Amino acid sequence: MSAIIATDLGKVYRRYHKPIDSLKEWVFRKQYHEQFWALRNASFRCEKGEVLGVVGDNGAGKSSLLKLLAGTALPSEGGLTINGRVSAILELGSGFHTDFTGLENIHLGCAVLGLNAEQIAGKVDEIIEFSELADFIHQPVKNYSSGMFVRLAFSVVTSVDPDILVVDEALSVGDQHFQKKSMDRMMAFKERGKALIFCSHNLYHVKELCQRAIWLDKGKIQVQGESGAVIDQYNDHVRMQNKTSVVVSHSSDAENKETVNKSELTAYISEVSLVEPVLDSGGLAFYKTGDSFKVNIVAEKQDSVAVDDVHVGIIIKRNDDVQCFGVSTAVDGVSLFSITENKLGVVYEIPELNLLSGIFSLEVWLVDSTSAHIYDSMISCCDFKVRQPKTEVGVSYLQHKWISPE
Amino acid sequence: MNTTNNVFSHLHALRLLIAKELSGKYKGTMLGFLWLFLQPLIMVLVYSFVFSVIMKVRVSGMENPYHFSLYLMAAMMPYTAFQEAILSASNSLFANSSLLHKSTLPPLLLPLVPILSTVVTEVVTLLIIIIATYFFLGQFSYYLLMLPFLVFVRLVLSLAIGYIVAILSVFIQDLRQALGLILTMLMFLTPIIYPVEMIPAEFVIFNDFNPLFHLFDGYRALIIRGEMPGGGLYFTAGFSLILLFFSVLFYQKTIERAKEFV
Repeated sequence: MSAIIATDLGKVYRRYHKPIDSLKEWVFRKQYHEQFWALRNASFRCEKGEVLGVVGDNGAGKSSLLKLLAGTALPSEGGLTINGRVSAILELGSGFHTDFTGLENIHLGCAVLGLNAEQIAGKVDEIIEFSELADFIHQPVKNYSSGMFVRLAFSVVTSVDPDILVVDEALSVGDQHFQKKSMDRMMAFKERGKALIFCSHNLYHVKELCQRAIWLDKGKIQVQGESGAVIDQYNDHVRMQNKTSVVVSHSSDAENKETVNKSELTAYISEVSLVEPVLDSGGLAFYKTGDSFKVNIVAEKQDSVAVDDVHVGIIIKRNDDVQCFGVSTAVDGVSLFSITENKLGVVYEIPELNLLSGIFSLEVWLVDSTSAHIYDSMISCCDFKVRQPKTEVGVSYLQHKWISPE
Repeated sequence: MNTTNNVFSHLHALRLLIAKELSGKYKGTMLGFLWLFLQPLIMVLVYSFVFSVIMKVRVSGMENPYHFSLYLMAAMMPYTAFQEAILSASNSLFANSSLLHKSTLPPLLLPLVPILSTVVTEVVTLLIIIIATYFFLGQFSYYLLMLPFLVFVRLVLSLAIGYIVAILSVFIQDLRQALGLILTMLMFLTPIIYPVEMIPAEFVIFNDFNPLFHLFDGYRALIIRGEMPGGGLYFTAGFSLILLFFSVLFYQKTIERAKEFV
């Protein structure tokens, strides 16, 4: 039996000009609002003993989804089956009463989760100990720092032995020490066969903790599946967004380039192509970290230019405009090969493409031997995708070893 | 979804919230819960002093100098509890928005907590009035055993109106401002500070259909007159129960909408 089964789950928020419109709508059965779907057509499952990660941009519907799972909001459409007791930390606070002291909130929090006085009394000491708030437990929580708030909330919510634990990004507020403690506790939950829904902007956490993940974008599930794959795709999307903002500012430049008639140049790039790429389902060239990588470059020149005076530079760029590696035939002291009299070619080969997951493209430059004069360039061509097998982080895989000290 | 999510499985949470509601009032005071008794006691003394010693208000049929002040308080103190219940209900969703949004506490509890709390203050106040009545008027009867029923009807009526007001206050912001005024007007329209006999004949018919009158006059019947309350009390009881049924229905149907504005 799955812990959570969601089918076509949706949550609509209604926007009214005035609160009274909502009441009029209920009375007169006539629409007075504009709809805003925070979440729509979300279907997924979460099994017992599974950690399900939820990632997405701000406003993608993560919080709405978690609220539905936590039971603090009702779905507007679709089905949601939850098997077991749910306990949740949503944003900061998690239903604490700010005028109550820490201790009173422990009692109230546990009572809301369905414990009786006796059961609560048996848990209070353990909760205070875990939260490390013994010195502040008789203070109203409105005087707490956000870190203290989260420590208390996490301690209460996890102490009631829920079957399903929903954790919003709240935990990131705690200090390193408490984050470690809470991670350990969450892992222990998982070991005991509980289901965990974990939402964080720390993608590394999600990748490490979760077997499966959901990427929400604009209220829809963009991708779900094995967490590494989902996070890689989400990262591609995030980097792409970072880049678009840069490109927009240079768009007029790019347009100018398009209008140049290439044959008037003294030398120009006539072809850049990946050699026998494997394509993914979306038609994008796909490499695994460590695959061999070849690019075929063909350039045309006019008689006035000597063969030796034409060089090719290639830069591999990730889609957030990070330059991963760039080199040129001039730097390496290599000449282009003549195909016909004025047609030159070269194949750029990387035996082991040690890039980590991401979406990349090539920037190809045709320069003279001093590298100072640029004949021609192609700024963004040959998009390709790389996926790594494990969870290293960064741009590329560096050869390394771990050795015994002395 | 969550099968245990009803009011009854949250009895302990309800208890904690009520205890907090009551203790919150006296928090930081030196006398603490003593205020619960001190407040009505001082009120009784002040009323008695003003109406009986200074103003010497005499209404026909009330020979004892303390009669009128006790007569007044026997109805006015429960009305004050009623008033407080309605006002706190109108504020209950705003005051507890974090519980409303971020916990699985049934929303039905939110107006219930402050309204139930008024019963505690009401009962303490009534005890003091009963003692004072015995002391000043020598009046004490077994009909007082019916008092819990009156308190119950008062509670039901407060809940019935409270649930509606809690929701409407969200949708109509002006209501929170107007409510104090409306409740004061209702007090003056209901024979609470004056005897029912003073109502002009042509208005008596309206008074007969005022559920508030039958309820608050009931308190006087038991405490001051030492007799059974009039039959109109059962009209009020029935009216309150039916209204409560519909107001809870209304509350449950509209709380999700109201939540969006709190």
